[in-house]
Amino acid sequence: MRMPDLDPSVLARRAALIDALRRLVPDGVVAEDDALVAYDSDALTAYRQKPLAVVLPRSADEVSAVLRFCSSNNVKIVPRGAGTSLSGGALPLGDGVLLGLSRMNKILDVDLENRCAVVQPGVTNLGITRAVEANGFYYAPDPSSQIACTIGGNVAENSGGIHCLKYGLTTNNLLGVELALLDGTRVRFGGKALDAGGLDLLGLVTGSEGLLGVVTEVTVRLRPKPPSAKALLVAFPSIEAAGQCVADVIAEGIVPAAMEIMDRFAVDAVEAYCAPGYPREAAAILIAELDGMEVEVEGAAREVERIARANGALACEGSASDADRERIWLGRKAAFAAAGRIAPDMLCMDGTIPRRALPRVLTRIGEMSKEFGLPVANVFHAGDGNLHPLIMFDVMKDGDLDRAEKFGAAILTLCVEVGGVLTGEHGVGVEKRDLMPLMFSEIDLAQQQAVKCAFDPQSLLNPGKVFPSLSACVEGGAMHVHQGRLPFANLPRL
Amino acid sequence: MQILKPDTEEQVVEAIRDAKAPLSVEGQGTKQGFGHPVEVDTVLRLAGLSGVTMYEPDEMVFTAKAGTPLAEIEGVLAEKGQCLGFEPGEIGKLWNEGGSGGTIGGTVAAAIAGPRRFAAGAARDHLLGFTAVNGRGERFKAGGRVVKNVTGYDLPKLAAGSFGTLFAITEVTLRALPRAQAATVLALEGKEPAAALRILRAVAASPFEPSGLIHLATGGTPRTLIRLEGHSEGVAARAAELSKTIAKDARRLEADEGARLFRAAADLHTLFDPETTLWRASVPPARAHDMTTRVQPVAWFADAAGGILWLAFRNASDPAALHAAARDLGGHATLVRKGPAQTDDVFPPLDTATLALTSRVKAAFDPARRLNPGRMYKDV
Amino acid sequence: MRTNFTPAQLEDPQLAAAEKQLRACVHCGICTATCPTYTLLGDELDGPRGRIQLIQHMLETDAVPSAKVVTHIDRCLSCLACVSACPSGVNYPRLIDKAREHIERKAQRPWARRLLRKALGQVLPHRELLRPLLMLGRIGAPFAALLPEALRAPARLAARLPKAERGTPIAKVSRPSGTPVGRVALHVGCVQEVVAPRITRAAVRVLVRHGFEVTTVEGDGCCGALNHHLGQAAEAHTHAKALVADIAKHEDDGKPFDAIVTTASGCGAVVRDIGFQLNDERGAAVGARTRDIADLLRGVPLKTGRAHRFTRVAYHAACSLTHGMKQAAAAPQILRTLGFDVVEPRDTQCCGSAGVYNVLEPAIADRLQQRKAATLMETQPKYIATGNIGCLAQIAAAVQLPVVHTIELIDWATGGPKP
Ligand SMILES: Cc1cc2nc3c(=O)[nH]c(=O)nc-3n(C[C@H](O)[C@H](O)[C@H](O)COP(=O)(O)OP(=O)(O)OC[C@H]3O[C@@H](n4cnc5c(N)ncnc54)[C@H](O)[C@@H]3O)c2cc1C
Ligand code: SF4
Ligand code: SF4
Repeated sequence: MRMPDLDPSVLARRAALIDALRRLVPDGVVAEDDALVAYDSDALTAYRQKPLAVVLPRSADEVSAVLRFCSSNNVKIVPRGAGTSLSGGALPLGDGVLLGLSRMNKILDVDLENRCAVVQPGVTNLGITRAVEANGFYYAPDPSSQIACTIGGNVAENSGGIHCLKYGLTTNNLLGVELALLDGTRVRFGGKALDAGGLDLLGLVTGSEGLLGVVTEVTVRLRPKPPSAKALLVAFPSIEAAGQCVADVIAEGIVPAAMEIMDRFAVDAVEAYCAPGYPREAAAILIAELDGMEVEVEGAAREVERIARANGALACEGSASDADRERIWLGRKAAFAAAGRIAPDMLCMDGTIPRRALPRVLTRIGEMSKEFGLPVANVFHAGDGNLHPLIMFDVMKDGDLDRAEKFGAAILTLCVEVGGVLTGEHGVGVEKRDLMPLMFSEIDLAQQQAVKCAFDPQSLLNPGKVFPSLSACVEGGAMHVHQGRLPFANLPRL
Repeated sequence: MQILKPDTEEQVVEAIRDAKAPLSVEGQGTKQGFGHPVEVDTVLRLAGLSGVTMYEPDEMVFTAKAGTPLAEIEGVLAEKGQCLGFEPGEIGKLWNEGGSGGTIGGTVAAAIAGPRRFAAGAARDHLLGFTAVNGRGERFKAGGRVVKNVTGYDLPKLAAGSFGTLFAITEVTLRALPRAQAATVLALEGKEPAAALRILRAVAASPFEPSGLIHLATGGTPRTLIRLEGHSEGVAARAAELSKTIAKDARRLEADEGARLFRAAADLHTLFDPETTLWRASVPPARAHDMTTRVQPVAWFADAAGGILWLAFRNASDPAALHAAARDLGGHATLVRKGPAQTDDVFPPLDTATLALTSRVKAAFDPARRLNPGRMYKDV
Repeated sequence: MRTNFTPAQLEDPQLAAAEKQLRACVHCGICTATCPTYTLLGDELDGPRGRIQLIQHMLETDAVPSAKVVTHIDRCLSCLACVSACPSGVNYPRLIDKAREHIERKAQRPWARRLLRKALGQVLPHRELLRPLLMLGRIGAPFAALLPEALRAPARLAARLPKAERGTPIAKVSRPSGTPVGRVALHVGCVQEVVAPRITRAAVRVLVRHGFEVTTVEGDGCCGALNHHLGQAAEAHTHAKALVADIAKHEDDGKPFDAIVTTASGCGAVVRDIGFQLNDERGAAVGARTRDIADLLRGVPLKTGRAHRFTRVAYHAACSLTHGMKQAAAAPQILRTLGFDVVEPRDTQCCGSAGVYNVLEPAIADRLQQRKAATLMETQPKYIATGNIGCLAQIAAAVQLPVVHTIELIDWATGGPKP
C-alpha cells in the first residue's frame, strides 16, 4: 500500500511543531515514540504507521486552532474517533497529526420535543441511546461496534448496522453537523429542523471519511422505541432458498427491522463458540426481526414464516420472550469473535450486491476460498444485500496476509461485476482505495476529487485515503492525474 | 431564446462542452418558477432524455433517464404494485395550473417530496445513483444501484436539491417501495393550531409508525390528519389504539377521501390559491406554531408533524422577515412561488463561510458557471 | 495481531503466555468503552487496547519504557472490565501483570513514587505494621499538608482507611453442631483483618450456621495480591507460597478442603490464579478450588429470619468479583432471595479503590469514587453492600451510610447481629 510521500520539511520541524501544538492543546499531545505505538492503526491492523503526533482536543475551538495551525504549517491531519474503522480510515500518516476526538464526549442537549439530541463527536453511538432510553427513545443505526465507535466516526463512515434495513444508515438519521474546515472556520449544515437549507452539504459530508472536514458536533434524530420485537430463526437447505425468502418478504411489503443470513461455516463457528442453539442441519440460517406493535409483529411473523415455508424452510422458530430473542441474536452478534477463535486473524469484507446475485456470489466465494486456501465464513445483512465475508488467516504465516488481501479484492471485484459496490458501510479507507477504479472511471474520480479540493485546497485532510491517486488542486477543481502515476510512497508493512 | 433538446447523453455532453454562454437547465420546465430566474439565452431542455431503462421489481430499484415524466414512472411502478417512497407530487402545477407534472430529474433536482417523507425519507434518501454532465462537459456517474453504499462521496445526496446548478442530471437510479397493502387516515377537525401540532408531535413520538402527519389550515375547517400504512391487520390495530389514546375522537376517513387529501398535500397546487405567494419553512417541529403565529400566513399546511410548513401569503411577503423568523426559530425558509417581480433571496441566506464553500462546491462541478448560474444564490 | 518475539524470549513461560494474548487481540477497540480510565480521560493510552500495544512494544523490545508509558500503565486499575467486554477472550491480566513486573525491573520511577510503592508493598501485607501506621496516620492526617510531598500519600492512605479495629479471636477450626455438610478453608486477609475484622467473623458464623466446618488459613498474613498488583513479583510469590503451604498443611491429613473461601474478591481473584503465578501444581489445585463466599453460599439453602426484610440495599459489584471471579450475579441474587430490596447503581464501573490505586492515583480514584457514591446514593438505600474490602473502604469514605460486606447482611438475615 503506497501512501503520500513524507514531507521532509515537516519531519525536520517536528520538535517545533510539537511544541506549538502543546501550547494549543495543553495536556493533549502525545509525541513520545514508545507511546505513539498505541495509535499506529485503527481496527484494520494490516497497516501500521506511527503519526507525527497525536493531538486530543477538548473543544471545537481547540479543533479549529489545530486545523488552522496545521493548514498554515502545511501539516497533514488524520481525524480519529474511537479507531474502530475496518478500512484503515484512521490510519495515521508519518508526517501528519492524528487528531483524536475521543475527549469531546459530552452530550450537549437532549431535546425530546423535537426528537433529537445534540452531541459532541466523541460520544459513542450507544452512549446516545443510553442517554435517552429511559424516556422511550433511541438512536437507530446500530453498528456492531456501537458500544465503542463514536458518532463522529459514524458520520464520517456513514455507518450502518443490523437494523438499518428498516431505519436507514447514519445519513438517514442525522439532522445536522458542525464541521471544522481546514482553515479552522466552522460551518453548520442543518440543525434541529428536518431539512438543511441550500445545497445538501450535510449529505455530502456524511460518509466523507474525514477528507472534507472535522465533525465537531452532531445532531441526531431520535426515534421512539418500538413497543415489542420478535426474532425468527429459520433454517434453510440452501443459501439460495434463504436469499429468495428474503427477497419475497421484502417484495410483499413487509419491512422487518433486520434480516441476517449466516452460512453453515459461520453457524458451526458460533455453535462452537457460544452455542446459541442454531439448527445444525441447515446450509444457511436466516434471522429476521420484526418490531412494532405486538399484534402487528405477530401478524408479520406469521407472514414471514409462511413465506419461509414456501421457500422450503426446514425449521422456523420464533422468540417467545426478550431473553429468547437475545439468545437468537447471540450467535449472529458473536460471529466475528467466533471466527476469531478459528484463526488468529481475520479480514472482514463489506461489499453490497443486488439481492438476486446472492447465490451466484456465495457459490463463487466458496470456490475462491478453496483456490486461495483460506477459510471464509459468510454473515450478511441480507435484507440489503450487504455481504460480510470473514476471511480467516494467520498473519504470522508467510504470505497469508497477502493471500487474504488478494482473496478480499477478488470478492469485491465480483461484487462490482454483478452490479454491486465495494463497500456498504465500512468505508473505502486505505483498504479498498486501489480498487476504486473498478467502480469509477478516471473522470468520476476526478470529479469527486474536485469536491475534495472545494473543502481542502491544500490536500491536507486525510490524504492517501479513498482515492487511488493524489491530485493537485488547481483553480476550480482537481488536476487530473493520469494512469500509472501513483504519487504515493511505500508504506512499510509491519 | 434558443432551446437545445438533446435526445442522448452524448448530445448533452456536446451541448455543455460547446456552450459559449451559460445555460438554463430544465426538464419540462414546470418548476422554472422555483428559484431565481436564470438570465440566459439558451435553455438546455432534458425532457427528450426519456424512458425507464432498468426496472427490477424484485430488487425494488429502477433507472430512468432524467427527462422521464414523473407520471410515467409512477405508472410503471404501479403495474408491479410499487411506488416512489418519498411520494413526490406534481408541484410543477403550482406555477402553471393544468400543465404537466414534471420529470423525474426535475423532481430529484428540486428535492420534491410528499408527506410520506416523514416515515420513508426525502428524495435524497431514495436516490441511489445518477449520471450527469458537469459544467466542463464531462459525463460522470456517482453512487450505485444498491441501498447500502458508501463507496466514494455521497454525491446523490448533493444532487437532490441542487436545482441544476452543479450538473445536468441525465439519468437517475432510485429505490421503489411496495405500495402499502392498507392505509387508514384518521382525521381531527377544527383543532386549534397549537393543539393540532401538539397531537401530531405526540403521534410522531409514539411507536404507531405513522406515514403522514399533516395539519391543513388552507381554508374551511382546519383538519389534522394521521395516516397509517402497512398490513391491514396492523393498520387497524394501530388506528384503534391511536384513537383511544393520543388522537381521541379522531374520525376514520373513507379510503378515497384520505387518499385524495394526501395526494393534494403532495401536489400542493390544489391547496393554495394560485394568486398567493408560497413559502416553505423547516423549523424544529416544536417551533412550528411559533413560526405560523409570527409570520401570519393566510393559509398554511404543516407536513411532517410541523417539521415542514407550507405558508401562503396574500401579498408579496417580506422575504427578509420570513428568513429571519425561520432562522430565529432554528430553521430556514425558502420562497417557492413568488409574487411578480420579486427578486430577493429565494433560498435561505447563508453565512459567509457556507456561501464561500457553496461557491467552491459549485466550481468543483461547474467552474465556468455554465449551468443555472444564480438560480440558487447570486454568485453561485 | 502480529507479534515479534525471539524464540529465546518465548522460553519464559510468562512471556509466552503474554504473547498468546497479544496474538488473540484483534485491536477491535470494543473494550475501550468499558474502561474507566479511558472513559474519563479519552486517550487511547489510558484504555485497554492502547495499553496492550504499549505493553507489546515494551515486552518485544525489552526496552526501558519512557516515563510517559509508565504513567499510562500505572493508571490501569486492573478492574478487568475490559476482560468481560472483549469478544476475543483476551486475558488481559497476563499482559498487565507482566508489564508491571517489567516496569518494576527496568524503569526508574521518580524516587518519591518508588518509595511509596515500596512502602505500600512492605507495610500493607503485614498487620503488625499496618495497625500502628493507621493509628499514627489518623493522628497525623490533619497535618498531612505539612509533610513533604513523598510522605503525604501515605498520610492520605491512612486518612482514607477506616480506623483499625480489633476483632475477637477466632478459633483455628470452627465446627457446626451436626455432621458438617462440607469442609472449607476460610482465607483471612491482611488489610481486611485490620480495618474490618467483623467481616471474617460474620463469615465464620454464617458458614458454621449452615453446617460447614471452617478452618482459617492465612499463610504469612497476606495472599500476595497487593504486591502482585504493584509488580513486586518476588514478594508476591513469597506470600502466595506461604498461603499454599498453609492450606497444604491442613490437608496433610488427606482430607482436602471442598473449597478455599475468600471474603475479599480482590484477594480471591488473585488466589484463583495462584497456580499460574507460581507455575506450580499445588498452587493450581488451590486456585481451582478458590471461591468467593457468595458463590459458595448460592448453592446453600439459607435459614432466613424476618427483621431485615424489605431493607433497601444498594449493591456495588466489586470489579474483582464481577470481572475477576465472574460472579456478578451471586451476591445480589442471594440478598434478593433473603428478602432484601436490592438496587444497583447506574454507574457499573470501578469505584476507584482497586487495591492501593487510590493512594497511587488519587486524582482518578477520587473522580471514580465520587461518581460511584453519587449513583449509589441516588437509589436511596439503607445500606450499601459490596464484596470486597477495598471497595468497602473507598465507598465508606464518600458516603454517610453504613457500608457493609454482603456476608454481614447474610449473617443478619440468617440470625446474626444487625450490622
Ligand atoms: C467489531 C467491529 C464491528 C463493526 N461493525 C460495524 C457495523 O456493523 N457497521 C458499520 O458500519 N461499521 C462497523 N464497524 C466499523 C466501524 O466501527 C465504523 O466504521 C465506525 O463508524 C468507526 O467509528 P470510530 O469512531 O471508531 O471512527 P475511526 O475508526 O476512528 O475513524 C473512522 C473514519 O472516520 C474519520 N473520523 C473519525 N472521527 C471523525 C470526525 N469527528 N470528523 C471527521 N472525520 C472523522 C476518520 O478519519 C476515519 O476516516 C465495526 C468495527 C468493528 C471493530
Ligand atoms: S483493567 Fe480496567 S482500567 Fe485497566 S485497562 Fe482494563 S478496563 Fe481499563
Ligand atoms: S476487545 Fe479484546 S480484541 Fe478487541 S481490542 Fe480489546 S482486548 Fe483486543
